[in-house]
Amino acid sequence: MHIDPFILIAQIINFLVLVYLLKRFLYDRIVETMNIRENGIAERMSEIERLKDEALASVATCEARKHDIEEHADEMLNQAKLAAEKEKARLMEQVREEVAHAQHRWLETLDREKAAFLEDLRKRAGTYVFETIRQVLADLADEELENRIVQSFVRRLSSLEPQEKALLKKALDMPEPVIRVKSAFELDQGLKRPIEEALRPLLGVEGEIVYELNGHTGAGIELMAHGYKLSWSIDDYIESLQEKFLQIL
Amino acid sequence: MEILRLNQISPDQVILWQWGFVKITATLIYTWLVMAILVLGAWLVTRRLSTGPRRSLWQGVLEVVVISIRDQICEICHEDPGPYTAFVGSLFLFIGMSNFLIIFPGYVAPTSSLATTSALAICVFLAVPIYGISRQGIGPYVKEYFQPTFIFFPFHVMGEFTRTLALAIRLFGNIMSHDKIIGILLAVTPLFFPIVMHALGLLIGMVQAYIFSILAMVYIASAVQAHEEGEPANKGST
Repeated sequence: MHIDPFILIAQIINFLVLVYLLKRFLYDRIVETMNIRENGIAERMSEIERLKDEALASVATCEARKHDIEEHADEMLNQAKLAAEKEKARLMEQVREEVAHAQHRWLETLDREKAAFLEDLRKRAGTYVFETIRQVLADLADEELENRIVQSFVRRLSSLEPQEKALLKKALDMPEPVIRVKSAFELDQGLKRPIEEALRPLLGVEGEIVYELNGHTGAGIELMAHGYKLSWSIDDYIESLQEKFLQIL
Repeated sequence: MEILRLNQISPDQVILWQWGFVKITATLIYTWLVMAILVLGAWLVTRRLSTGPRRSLWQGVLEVVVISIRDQICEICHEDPGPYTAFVGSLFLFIGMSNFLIIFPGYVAPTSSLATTSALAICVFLAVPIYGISRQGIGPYVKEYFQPTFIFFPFHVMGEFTRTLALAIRLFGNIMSHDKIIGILLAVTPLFFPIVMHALGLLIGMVQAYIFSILAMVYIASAVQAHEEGEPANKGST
């Protein structure tokens, strides 16, 4: 069969061109792509192997640790129990101390409150006792008592110490001296007379005696002369007694 | 009754344009068509290649094709298929695509032209010493022709020519005869028989592409490995 030499040469050239083009556009690109992918896969595989080795190493470490823990579990448990017992004892002791301290403070507070309460009770009791005494004396005050009071006052005037007497005289040493006699009850002439008899020698003729009724003096008589004051009252005794009582408390 | 049209015997006979020595025949047109399909297809697919695990369907197809070609080469030469992939792979793809397109009516495979198969065989004939010399050097390569004694030199040379001729004739004969068989059978069997024959033709075409490229690789491998093995390579032709 006839072979056209031009067709033969043209086909050889065509084939060589095809080889070149396919090498350029197919084989090289595909092979390069596959190599890149294979390298990537190889890298990933090596990474996976590395991670696997690390994981196996970790597992081995964990296993060893677990084995070690299992071996020492009883010992660690006993140590933990002992430590827990010690801690429990320490905490109990601490609680006990705190309770004792709190109890002590509470008892102290209770004692203080008790003492304060008793103190207050005593004061109130004393106050009520003296109030009651005053009330009883006020209720019992009658003419006889008033007479006794006046007599006691006059007796006191008479038995003044020289110094006090000097002070009284000094207070009355003026042209028209006035002595004010204050009493809680009305003084009749019978009661005024002993007072005047006791005062007149001190007051002289020109002096004047003024009688005033004053509820504040209590069951007693009070004398006032230009800055000098002399009084006798049952309240004085009661107040004195109350002061002594409070001092004792 | 016309049993065979002219182009069913050989597309070389269909001259579309001629200017003196230069002529454009159906063989060249169909060859360029096959080349265009292969190159454009490869270019379109390999424009955007993915290096990751996810890739397009066509990239996968081309990767399978290239890997298969490289595996086949590797099985024969037992070394890196890189230097031979382009040549042997192009032989397979060109012949395979040429034979595959016969399913389209009006298409005539360029491989049914003796000029085409001869051209491919000549390429193989030239590639064998080129690969052999580039690997072994010219001295050892030429020395192989005188093994085991100088008396074998003419037989070796004759073997080179005959196997090249066999390559060309085998491919041409198979593809051309397929068309011829279809033409003859159409005269005696009606209707569906051409479809069956087309299917058979596809099978024959693929087998021939495989045989041609495998034989080419075997010849190249024998030239490359003869020196390394220290004995004459298998230079027999099938």
